[in-house]
Amino acid sequence: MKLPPVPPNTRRRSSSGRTRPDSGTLKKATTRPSRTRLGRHCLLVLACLASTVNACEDLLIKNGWVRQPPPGIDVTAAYFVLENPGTEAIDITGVTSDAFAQAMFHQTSVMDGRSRMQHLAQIRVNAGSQFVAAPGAFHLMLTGLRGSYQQGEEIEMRLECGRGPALLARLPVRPTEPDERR
Amino acid sequence: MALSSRTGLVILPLVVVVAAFFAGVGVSRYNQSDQAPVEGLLWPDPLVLKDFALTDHTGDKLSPARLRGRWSLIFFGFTHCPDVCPTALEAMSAAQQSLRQDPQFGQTGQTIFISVDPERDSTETLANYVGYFSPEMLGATAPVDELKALTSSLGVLFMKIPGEGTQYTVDHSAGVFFISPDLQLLSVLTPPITKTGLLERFETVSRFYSTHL
Repeated sequence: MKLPPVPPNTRRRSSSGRTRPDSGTLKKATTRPSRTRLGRHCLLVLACLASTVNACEDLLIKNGWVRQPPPGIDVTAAYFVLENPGTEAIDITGVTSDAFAQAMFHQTSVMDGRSRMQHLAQIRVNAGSQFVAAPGAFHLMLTGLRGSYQQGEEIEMRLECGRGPALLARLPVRPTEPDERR
Repeated sequence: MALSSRTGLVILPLVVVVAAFFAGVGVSRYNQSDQAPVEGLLWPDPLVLKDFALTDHTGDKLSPARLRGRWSLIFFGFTHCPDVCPTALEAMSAAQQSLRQDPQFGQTGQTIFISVDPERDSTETLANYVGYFSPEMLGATAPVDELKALTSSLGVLFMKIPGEGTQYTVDHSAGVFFISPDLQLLSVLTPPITKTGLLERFETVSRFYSTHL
């Protein structure tokens, strides 16, 4: 998967330089002076990768909801706040739901009065930060609605992070509030 | 339907008549008589609707005659729009309920959703869609060539953007257009579209209209 642009509201903070405490590979790298330079470089790259890939279950999802789709329309959007209380960034690499054929992160932008949507292959929630999906801004576009859902019903979403258990969330269905905005 | 070419990335040729829109949206203008700034007012020299012929969600013709003599709040979008369009239409529906108490908007004022995606938005689709937001909201569309007669007179832009397979989306002007009873475009409220924002803008624009026109 190609690396996408990092959403501007979740830009990474300065690196803490920490390594994962359960990383046996990293321990070996610091205790074996006989390793070749190439080998050390490879381990450094792995360490960098490990520092940006964490388990989805470490995320907290708040204020989530799915916009109730109008009758006959199989497209809608989900909104929520993802909070990362940990010390490492977490990338959301995909979302699935039995209720929809496809789920994709998009960013709505308005330039010169014209609305457009940009697809984001993945999103990053930086350590100690939030990712906010709200009407008129970042959102999870849901297409290919299966069945019908009324206000008050819940739709289960699975947020994947590339490794580790997915984050399961049940989001209630409701319409937009008239003054709801980002 | 005129949305026929799958080979062209730009299916809907765009009208670039934007003088008042891009120059004036959200910018305070000065009234010539008293030099007082009027927020969001496209004045002087507002764009004026030219002749057009759309079909509304009941199958009836929608022409300038149905806009003359009443206030109209118009939003251009498409039913497969997941974010901006339903957000704006929820706000318009709520605003319309409040505006019924306004002496200028009254019982004759109207909110209109115009689809710039006639390929997918049939009369039946539009009827279900606008009916979901408000039983009083009008939905309308037309073949692209007919749509352009209206959009060109308002500086509205729309462009079909291909997606995966046969999927596509549509970039489009995302404001709410305030059309006076004299068919003048007096203001465009740009996103975020909220009920409060719509009511405030209508109060400003209608007050100017009633005292100066």
